[in-house]
Amino acid sequence: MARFLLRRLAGRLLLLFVAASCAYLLAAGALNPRANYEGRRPPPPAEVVDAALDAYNLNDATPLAQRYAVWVSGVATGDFGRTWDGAPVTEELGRRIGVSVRLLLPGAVVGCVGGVLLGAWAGSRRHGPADRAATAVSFVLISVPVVVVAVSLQNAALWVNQGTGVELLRATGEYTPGLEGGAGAWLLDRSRHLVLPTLTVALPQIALYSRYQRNLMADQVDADYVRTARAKGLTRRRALVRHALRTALAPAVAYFGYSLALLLTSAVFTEKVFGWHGAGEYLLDSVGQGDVNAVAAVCCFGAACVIAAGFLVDTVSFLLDPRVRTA
Amino acid sequence: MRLGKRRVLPVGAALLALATALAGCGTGEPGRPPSPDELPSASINAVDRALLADGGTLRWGINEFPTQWNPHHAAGNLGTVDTVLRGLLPAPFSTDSEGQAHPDPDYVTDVEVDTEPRQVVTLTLNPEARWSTGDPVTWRDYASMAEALSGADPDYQVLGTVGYDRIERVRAGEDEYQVVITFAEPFADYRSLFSPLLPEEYTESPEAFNEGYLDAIPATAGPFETGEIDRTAQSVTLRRDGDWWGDPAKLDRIVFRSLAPDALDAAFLDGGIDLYALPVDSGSYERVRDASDGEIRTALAPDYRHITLNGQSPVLDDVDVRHAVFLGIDRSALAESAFSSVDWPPSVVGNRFLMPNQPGYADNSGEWGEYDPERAARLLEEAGWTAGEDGGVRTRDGEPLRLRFVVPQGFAPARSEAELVQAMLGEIGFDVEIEGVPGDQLFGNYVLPGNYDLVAFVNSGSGFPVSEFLYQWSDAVAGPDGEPQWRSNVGRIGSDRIDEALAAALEPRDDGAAAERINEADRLLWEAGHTLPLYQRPQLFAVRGTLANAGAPGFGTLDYADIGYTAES
Repeated sequence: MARFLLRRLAGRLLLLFVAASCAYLLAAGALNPRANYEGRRPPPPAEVVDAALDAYNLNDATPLAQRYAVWVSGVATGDFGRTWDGAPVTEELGRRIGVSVRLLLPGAVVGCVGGVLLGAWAGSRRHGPADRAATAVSFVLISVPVVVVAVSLQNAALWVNQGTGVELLRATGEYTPGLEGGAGAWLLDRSRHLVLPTLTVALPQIALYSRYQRNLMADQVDADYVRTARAKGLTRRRALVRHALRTALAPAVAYFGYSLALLLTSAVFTEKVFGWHGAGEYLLDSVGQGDVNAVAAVCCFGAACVIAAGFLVDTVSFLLDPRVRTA
Repeated sequence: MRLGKRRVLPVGAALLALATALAGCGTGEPGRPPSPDELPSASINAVDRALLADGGTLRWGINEFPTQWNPHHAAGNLGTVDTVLRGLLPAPFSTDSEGQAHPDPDYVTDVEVDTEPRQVVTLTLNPEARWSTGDPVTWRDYASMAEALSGADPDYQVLGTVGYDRIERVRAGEDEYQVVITFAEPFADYRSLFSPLLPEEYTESPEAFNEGYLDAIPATAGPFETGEIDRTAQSVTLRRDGDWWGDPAKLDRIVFRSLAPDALDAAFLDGGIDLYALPVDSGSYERVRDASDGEIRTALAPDYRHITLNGQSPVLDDVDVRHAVFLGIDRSALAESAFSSVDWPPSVVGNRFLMPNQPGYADNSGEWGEYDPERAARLLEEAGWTAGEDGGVRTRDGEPLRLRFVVPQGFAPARSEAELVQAMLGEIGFDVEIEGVPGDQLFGNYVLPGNYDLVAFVNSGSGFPVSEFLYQWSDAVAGPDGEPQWRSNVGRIGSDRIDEALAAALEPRDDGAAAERINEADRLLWEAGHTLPLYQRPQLFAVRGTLANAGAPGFGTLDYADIGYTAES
């Protein structure tokens, strides 16, 4: 078993290396950090610009192969280089990932759990008024872009705040910079900032998962074993939760894994609207500034996430399914 | 130069704008547009500091978070760096709302200028002034900084050397609190130098200069001191400096918070920030104008938009054709269209150096500033460009009269401006082709190498118009390979006469004579058909209504010690 997993791991690491190299070469070929200086009025002297770009391995006058070699040797030691204006990329990326995780995790949990529960509930009441209402709301949420959900929630909160004169929910930021007070104040401040982004992340996911879960559940409601369970004296609710839901959950869990990867890509809008300085925003801003090293680093992180998820799936399926072992 | 906030992802930006429009609640009645003579040079709710409450926190919204905080470093020249450092670092002069510089008594108590035989400027320093390191501010700080920025040592990654390259030496006067600056060549804008001043410790070696202010603001000498730089929240906190020798700051703290443009609007409405600059070309004005406890302070900005013509392109190398372009563009119509969303009256400028609200301003456009399509057509006719059949595109020797107008992609106001120009010039027989190019390549690949015919951007000034933009108007110099180098003169038009007039304008004179020389240089540029100035832009700030001595300062510099909240009545 260990040999099988090791072989898979080696393949994945090779894939990661190829993906990271492609990301760097594409970024270095397409982006133009020099523009940060050229657009200035008056622009700095040309020698200064070259010296500044050389210092961070960003000079487009240097052959791409040479810049790539410098970059690879840095990455091998865990150093992704510096941004065009001198900030260490590895450190900044770490900070950004932390922000993104704090932003997405509560929303993802609420989204998964809420979606499954809503879907199971709607599925067990197939074609009833509750199911129809849930279907309608879900389709609206699925078809609306995340950014519209975010801005609408934000405007609603601003409107409520202004109407009531109580600043209950904060519309921007992860926390109040320079907040004074104890742990209680700190926790309250964080929570007030977290509600709107969490809803933004969770609502579209609830809509999506509940659709999927509803159909899985609906297939199980009339299954023989559920009928048997009820015949043996279980209440309808107990039969559905204990037996039907458990069976319907397995395929949904596999689906979550893949959808969570998509979450990262849509996070950029949530981050921009609510002013959280996370990894998605970092990628977008870095592309705008022609910041080759930062763009390559975020892409590497994305590739690493996908590959790690794939490895996890490998491991789980290996443990669950004996047929894989002989493959 | 700003082309507006760079749009990195046009689709995303458009979605955001759409969403804001869809979800936005409440639009107000359009206000009565003010007439041009009512426009203030500054709008900061000026209140005597004695009447302000002591204490309070000002949360100030910014739209970028710098890494390099050294404002004289090539990577540190961001508006935000200047905004933050103004409360922290010394500058010998401060400017008023009309762009006139005066010594700041907190740092400089007396200024003497001799011009014969050479220009010598003597600054007498306030002996109480101290760096946060405990060292006094002395002539050595000035001497070391002049040396670093002179360009003599290429290891200093400096933004520019204009002015510093004319300094011959800096020495002590009567004592270490007197700075004697001797210029090798006359330099009228000496008041623009050393703003802000850096301590000797951070200018004495290239390493300290390049890296000392990287992600840090280590030494200060102002009414505030550096509190915390929080890269997670992207905020910088300034605290009132107890060791400050001037009138103490009214506020306890200023917290600068960096947010994306749309998030700034929401943060202002939500009470998360109290002050921020509104982009002129967005829906932000509509969104925040009705905030219950806020107001919008508007003043004339120290900048103007212009259309630069490439004087070396095959069509535009003829000065008559350039003047035909000047006459064929209705500048008031462009101004009106640009500010339709912010109730701003068109104010066309006729000067490349001085703005209408500055002393000495004159409209130097003469015969070239009017909208006169008939005369433009005559000029083209005389230049050999004959009208096509039924008023189509003109031709000369079979070549069509075609111009390429480059605009940054995804920046809608620039495109609509170009479309207006296209229609106006189309009337007189030009075929204007609008070419959208990636924003990060606009200067590098198109404007600087002269690969364009027309381009529009903004010159932002600071009250020292000649020295700041000297190379934008100076003739080419011979490069090492013998090829002419145009430096930042992207219009690629120059002459000895213009250079002489610019040099004369840089000689120190009393104000009346100085303005006359600046205007003379500008008149020559009008005659040469170099760059068509369009209009002065407004400066808009959304501000909490109770905040005093802050807002839109125009050309002026704010005194951060005087910013405060009006006392509860």
